[in-house]
Amino acid sequence: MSVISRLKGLTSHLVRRIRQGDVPLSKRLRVLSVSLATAGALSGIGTINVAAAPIPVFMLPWTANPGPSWHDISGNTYGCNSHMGPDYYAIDFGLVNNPVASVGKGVIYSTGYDSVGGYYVEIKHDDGTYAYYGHLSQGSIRVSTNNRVREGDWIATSGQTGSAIGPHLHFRMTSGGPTSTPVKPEPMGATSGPSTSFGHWGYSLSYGCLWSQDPVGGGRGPGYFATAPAVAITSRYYSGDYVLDGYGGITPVNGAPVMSGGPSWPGWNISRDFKVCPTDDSKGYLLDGFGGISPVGNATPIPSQYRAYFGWDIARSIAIGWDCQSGYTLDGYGGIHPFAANGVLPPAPAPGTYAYHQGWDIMRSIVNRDYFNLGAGYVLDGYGGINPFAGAPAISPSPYWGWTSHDPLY
Amino acid sequence: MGMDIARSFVLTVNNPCCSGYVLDGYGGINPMGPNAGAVVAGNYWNNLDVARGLAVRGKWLNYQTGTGAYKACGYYVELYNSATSYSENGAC
Repeated sequence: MSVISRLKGLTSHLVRRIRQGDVPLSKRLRVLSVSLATAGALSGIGTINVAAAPIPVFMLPWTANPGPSWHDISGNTYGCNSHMGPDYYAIDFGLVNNPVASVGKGVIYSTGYDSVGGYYVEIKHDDGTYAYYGHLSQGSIRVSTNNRVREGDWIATSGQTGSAIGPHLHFRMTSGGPTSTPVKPEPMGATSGPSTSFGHWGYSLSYGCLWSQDPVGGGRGPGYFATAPAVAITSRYYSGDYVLDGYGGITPVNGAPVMSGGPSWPGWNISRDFKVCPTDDSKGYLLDGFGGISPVGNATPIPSQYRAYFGWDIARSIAIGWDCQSGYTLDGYGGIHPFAANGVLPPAPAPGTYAYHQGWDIMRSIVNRDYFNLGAGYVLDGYGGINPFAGAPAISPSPYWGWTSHDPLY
Repeated sequence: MGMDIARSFVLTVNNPCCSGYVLDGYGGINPMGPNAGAVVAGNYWNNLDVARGLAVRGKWLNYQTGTGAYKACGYYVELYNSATSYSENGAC
């Protein structure tokens, strides 16, 4: 069943609780206290200054699979012609009926139509900035006010509505409000070539009325803009790797052969993890945010009754056993869910033997403790805590970036 | 106040248990456990939370039955799909 199909069935599943999440609060408190004590003892290893907030980074505002993808900046760049006031740093991308993507995570602030901007979408990002997408095609807006979006999500199709000379996407960012202080939208994601270093547009955009300017520079040649956000990487045992993007694309790198048969959700950043089987490089499993497990290559399908289905985007990571047909999925709260293609499930960790934080999407990744036995392992939380489950011994030392008061439960 | 910046991790040694690496959002490869050596990595994006995934080749190393000289190496990926290599003490 596709993720889209599962979404359509949301009404019957939306309120379904995460399995293994129904543990008493007192038990969760006890687990958290153990986690905090363990993590506190392990502090001081990381190199990150926790006082320095990350600089926001954004995707480019169109969707595409990884690979060559480019669009002209069709004239009006910073401070040129009508691009003044809140539009001072606005950019006109030469998109023609292209899927338009959210450049960052946030909430749909408004959608609508006016005679200048045409059909538009405004998004308030989680960092407080706003993004405006104008001249969108009539009837193409795919989001509504208060919808949550991630970077790379397909929100509309570009067009020529409103006051526009030729089809293009009018894109701007502001802070303090949707029409307040103009914000220069850099850094914004682009790579200057396949498997090369991260860049910001390839270079800093120039000011003025520069026509037919390509962000990569050097004229209008193709640029390699990664507009599908990468979410994971997995290695074959001997050589080659696969990069998973949010749309379900699995891109072989470093000499790995193409692995086909996986799902595809263009413009929907819903993939969460992909692992190659540890004993067979020809197969693997892809986890989507709803808990669906899709076989890739010649992997055996997982019967639906053995897949954790959440009904919302909360699945985060997958670990695969040596048999290449069983393993665990991890949800963001810390729930650990066994699965198996043949119905022989690995043991489920007993409640209280793993870290769990109901209502807090803080868990990031899961690995098995042992190559052959799936009974124990570790879960990484966002603060660097390495949380053992099912009796796995603690790991020390480990990096740790503190805890927070954001936990809604405590 | 802590910082939600850990993004992925791998185990590279499981006997004696356990060692590996934690990837932070800036691209730092942070050793964990007693048998994870310092790594040399290609990119670090200071204050840019763009690193997303960490992978390792030749994992599940067993120091007691193995050669003891095997070192980890692999790749990590950032938001924009660029894979960057890292290696433990020049391995791989």
